Amino acid sequence: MTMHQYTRVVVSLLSAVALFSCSASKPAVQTGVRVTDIDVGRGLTADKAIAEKTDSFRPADTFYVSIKTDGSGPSATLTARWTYQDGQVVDESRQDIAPSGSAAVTEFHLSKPDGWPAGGYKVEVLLNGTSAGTKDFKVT
Amino acid sequence: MGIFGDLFGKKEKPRADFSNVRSGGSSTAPTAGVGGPETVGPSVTTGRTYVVVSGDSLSKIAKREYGDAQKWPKIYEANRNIIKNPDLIYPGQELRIPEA
Repeated sequence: MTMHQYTRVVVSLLSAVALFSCSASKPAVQTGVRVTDIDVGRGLTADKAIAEKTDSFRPADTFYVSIKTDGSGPSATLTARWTYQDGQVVDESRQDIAPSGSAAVTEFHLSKPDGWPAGGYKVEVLLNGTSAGTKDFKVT
Repeated sequence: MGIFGDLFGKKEKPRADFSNVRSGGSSTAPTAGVGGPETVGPSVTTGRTYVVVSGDSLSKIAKREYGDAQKWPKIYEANRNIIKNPDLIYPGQELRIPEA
């Protein structure tokens, strides 16, 4: 290795170390999204909050779940997994959102034109595949 | 069940049928990948829909969606392609709900 080549290697190494130091000292950008509230009910307001909270539905009702999230991120996947008392998965829906920092509200709804069978139901909300909470309700 | 159910005098309950369930959703947050971080302010992610159930009317849906039954023409206008008569909507019809 010539002196010139040796100098270039040393300069490259020093640059790499300097670059790493700079990026390591930067504060981490907070991109976390978290679920702050989950409500279940019969209807929605215009801002997607639950208009009539309940855990007791009638067979002709539409189920609504409203999920409040906080934080920001380029992509977050919210999933609503609805199950019946016997463990059957009634439905699983997903939405990919890109919350920009302020509180966001995401809703899912479920209906059955010929009416819901009576019994216990559960909706589980997942954020990026991880459970963020569940709500139990019944149809009578 | 069949033979074994008869043999032991047990009758299994039929499984509930959820094959015709309709689902939907929307969000005040921008959709990931569509407009992405450049989208500013609240926006609807997907076409918000509502599936008509027995006993519904446009004014009932307007009351539920907007908090004002008088706003039913907004839903009617957005669904002229599937609603011929605003007094006649049918269970299972999927209506587009425009923003209030």
